[in-house]
Amino acid sequence: MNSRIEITTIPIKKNLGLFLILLVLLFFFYFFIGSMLSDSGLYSESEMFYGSKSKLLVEGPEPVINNYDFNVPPLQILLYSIFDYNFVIASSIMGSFFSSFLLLFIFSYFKKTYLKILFSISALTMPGFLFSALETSPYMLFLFFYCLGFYFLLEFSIRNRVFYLFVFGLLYGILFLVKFEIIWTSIYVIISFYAIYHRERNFLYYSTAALFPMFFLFFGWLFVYWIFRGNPSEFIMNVFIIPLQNGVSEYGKNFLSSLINSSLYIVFYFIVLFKIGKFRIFFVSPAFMVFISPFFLSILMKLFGAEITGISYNIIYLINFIILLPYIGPLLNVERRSFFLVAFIILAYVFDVFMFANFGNREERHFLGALNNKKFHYDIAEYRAVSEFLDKYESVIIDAEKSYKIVFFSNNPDKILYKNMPEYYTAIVTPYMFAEALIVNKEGDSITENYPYILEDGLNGFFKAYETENYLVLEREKTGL
Amino acid sequence: MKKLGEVLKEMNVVTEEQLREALEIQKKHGGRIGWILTTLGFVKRYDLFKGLSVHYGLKFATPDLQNLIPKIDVILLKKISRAEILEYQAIPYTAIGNKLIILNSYPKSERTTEFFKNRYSVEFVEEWVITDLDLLETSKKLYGESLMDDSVYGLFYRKPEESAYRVFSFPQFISIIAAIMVFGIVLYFIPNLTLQILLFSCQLLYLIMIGFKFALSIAGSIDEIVFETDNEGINSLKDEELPVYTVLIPVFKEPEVVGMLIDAIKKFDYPQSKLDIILLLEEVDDITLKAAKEAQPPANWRFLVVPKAAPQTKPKACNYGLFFARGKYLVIFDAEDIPEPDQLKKAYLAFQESDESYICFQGALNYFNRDQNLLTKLFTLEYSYWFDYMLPGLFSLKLPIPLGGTSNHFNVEKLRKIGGWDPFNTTEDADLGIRASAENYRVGIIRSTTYEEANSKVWNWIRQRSRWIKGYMQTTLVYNRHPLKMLRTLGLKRFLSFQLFIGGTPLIFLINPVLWGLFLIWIVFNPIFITELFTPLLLYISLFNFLIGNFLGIYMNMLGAFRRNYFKLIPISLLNPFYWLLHSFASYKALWQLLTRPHYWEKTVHGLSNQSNSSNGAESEKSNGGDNK
Repeated sequence: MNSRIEITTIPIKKNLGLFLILLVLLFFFYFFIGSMLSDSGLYSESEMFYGSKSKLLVEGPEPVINNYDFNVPPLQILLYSIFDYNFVIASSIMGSFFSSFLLLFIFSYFKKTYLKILFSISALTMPGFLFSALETSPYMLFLFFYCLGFYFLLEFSIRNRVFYLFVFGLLYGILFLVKFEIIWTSIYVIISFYAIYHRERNFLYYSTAALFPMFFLFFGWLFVYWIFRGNPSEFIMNVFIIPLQNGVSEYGKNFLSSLINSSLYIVFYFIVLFKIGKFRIFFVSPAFMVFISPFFLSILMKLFGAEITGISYNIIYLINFIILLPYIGPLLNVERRSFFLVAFIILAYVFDVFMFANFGNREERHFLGALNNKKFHYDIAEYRAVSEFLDKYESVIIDAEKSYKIVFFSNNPDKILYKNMPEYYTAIVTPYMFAEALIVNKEGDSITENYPYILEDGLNGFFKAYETENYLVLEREKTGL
Repeated sequence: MKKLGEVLKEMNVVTEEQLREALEIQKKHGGRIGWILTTLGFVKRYDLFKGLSVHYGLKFATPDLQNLIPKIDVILLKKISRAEILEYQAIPYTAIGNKLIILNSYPKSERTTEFFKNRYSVEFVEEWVITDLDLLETSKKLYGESLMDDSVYGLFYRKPEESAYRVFSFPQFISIIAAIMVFGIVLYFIPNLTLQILLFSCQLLYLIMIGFKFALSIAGSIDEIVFETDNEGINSLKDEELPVYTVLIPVFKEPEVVGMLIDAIKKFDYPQSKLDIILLLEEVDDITLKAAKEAQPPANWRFLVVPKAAPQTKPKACNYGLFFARGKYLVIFDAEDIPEPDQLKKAYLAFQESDESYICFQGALNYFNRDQNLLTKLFTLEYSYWFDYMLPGLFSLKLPIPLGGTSNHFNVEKLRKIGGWDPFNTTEDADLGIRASAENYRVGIIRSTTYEEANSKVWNWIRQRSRWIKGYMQTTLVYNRHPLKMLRTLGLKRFLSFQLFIGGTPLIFLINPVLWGLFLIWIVFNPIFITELFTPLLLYISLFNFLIGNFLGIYMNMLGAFRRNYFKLIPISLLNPFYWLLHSFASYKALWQLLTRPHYWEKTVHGLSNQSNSSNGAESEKSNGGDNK
């Protein structure tokens, strides 16, 4: 009575052996490059930022929960905490996991061997992909849930299995724990669902199923914030309102550079749209929603102040297209026009390298340089030196938000007095009573806000113990008591 | 020998046209002509058997039966079992020399005569025809007491350890008392640590339950994706190959549903002449019996009046009905049920396509009055998730399945072998599912729905739910009398699943209000003793359980509603936490009853729905596609 039909799976179950082999090989691949980069002294800002957060969480003073910054999404911190904030291992594992998925997807979709090889190698070795995997693991984590989520949405649209819609909802909801700002994209989901499902008069229910996890997690997070931190409106202000104000004011300035950064993909997506345009049904299908999602994501996230800038963001266009291929491939007749795909991937590769070298941000350019064996030790030497200097103190006041690089290299995070701790602001007012030393970030931090002339005049009861280009260390004077 | 049809025509009990219609049906679907004529309502049962006696040239004993019964030779009866009488549909009457006279309602069956010849070592068997109802009544008169005794205590006599007749075994009783005493002592000496350990254990249980139910839902969902009903299989079934199917319908003081029930069963996509429908009535329930007689159901219906005896429970009535079941397969429906018409065929096909380990196939249950009020909506959400995801999840992972109250299709032989239902267990169906598992049988799932009436009154709902939860508690106690033996029989995976699913469910409902109470006190008053109790780790786990547990509970319920296209119920799923509070209330009632009235059957009042079941349910469901249109 019951007959088996083909089940939709990420092609892992059938190819578990291959998946594991890829996982191991790619782990070593990323680990090797990651170690090489860190030997070159290349530490990415985001790795140091999240690394410092997880370091405080794991090794900071008791109670642990006080060390957690509730304005930072937990999955990013978790990723580093699990791997002992060793970002080379964390990024290698995340990168190899996602890449293995992607490769299996490519292997199972393309029938022609040269396309399999071309797409696999190009995707894996593209500077944008490598950079995302090795230097911005949170972005890789984001990509993982994002792509997997939309994949299930596409499957739902084809097979009409409710379960897939719910898996999409779950994965999309988890994205909130990777990047809080993603909640703004729910506007996009609602509009798209309206366009697709309003004829069935069920779009509200579809939207509920898709967005319930995200909103539940949002309110859950507010609740947790309220329990551990107090007023949840601070969270909303910090994560949504202030970045929104900045985002709106900055957006105009960045708009043109965003267009240039993604110009190839914009042109390419337009060509594809032109080809598929004759199939009107496409425009009211989830495939179209997924198709244009990277553009909307880019606009919404930048507008609402999320930091997704740089050339490496482009990788989402490529992966998005690969995931869409099983659904739009037949419309494009790609099997017969494989030259189209070959041309695209080669162009994308060249474009990526070119953009990285010429239009990339400082980190992206350094990354490319490090791949070419360039050394960047001078970058981190300062942070290391300050951190090592702090080893001798029993208690140190530091603004961990601004001076996270010092925290990242610190050997004694449990001796740090920082913002999340209840006594921090009292300690700032009467540092003499609380700490043996203070670290001042010369670019400005909560200490300079309290003592605007501290850089010039120092602080009563403290003397200048150590100074670098960006940091000043003040040590408590001995009283002889 | 004249054909039976001709005989009946000559008796002026059937017209030419009726006979032709019956012959057409026989040609198309197979079956016996006499039985077809009676199920169509053309011929009365009495006339059929009289006609049969003329057809075969046998004596028709029914008119004289009252005089014959006292003369039945009891020595002959000692050589035959009750089950054999019901199987062969014949009773030995008397022996004269080398000849045995039997009262037979299935005459001229070679198998029957051979059996009696061998059993009684006679050369000749003379058959006197009686109606099937006479045979049933005669059996009741001859074996009434033992039948009733077996219906009530059959399982207890056979396997006392598997019966809920005793609530606690002695070791269980001692263990519980000892545990309470030890807890009291350690609480007195080290109160904080004891409470912390207790809270930690509770949270750990929550965590495991969340994981377990999530895994079940995923497995159930994958099952939804993997399997599709194959209509070709159903269509390829030939009616003449279908076996006799017994339908047991226990009713109690439900005179209003009998007419609708007859209509509903007429709509079954199964040859009526192969349906053996037994309406199980309680002796004290005159009104339903009267209504049933007045409804004049077709001849394939039998009314079985279950003699009065404690406990007055549905499983006792079902056991009684099981003795008289003629079918190879058997299904139980409640009086107000509306099964999808092809459910019997689906179940039959499932049996055909599965191996010998399967004892039962469970159909999905859902509600036709889901829009009646908030309670029915929440109940529908719960059932949609339970039957569409949880049970398929258990099936998919090869774990023990607690059966639902109705629409369970059994292999009769295997059901008799494991002792039928436990009349002392107030969730006899769940118990039976676990017992089947303990006996190494499997329970399967069929994708066919029976629509029932959801409880629409809160107190009525609590009564029903407290009975179910009490049954879960009983089942947990029964199968934990020898936990090691159970572990060996079931294996670790199925053993743990049983403990979590059957034992864990009521436990969670009992714990819920305590923790919610603590949480509320903490939020409002923030007393120091609670802050001290919740160590950081305990607090994190509790928060995780609170948020993720509630989230998954609600989201999975939404999934169930979506699957059935009950879109309007989706916002209602947000109210699930309040529904769980009702569960907790029912659980405490169940616990109290377990200790005070363990076998008391809280009767659920039916017929509270505003909707008539005949005009709703499956048909409207199918035609409407849920809320979609």
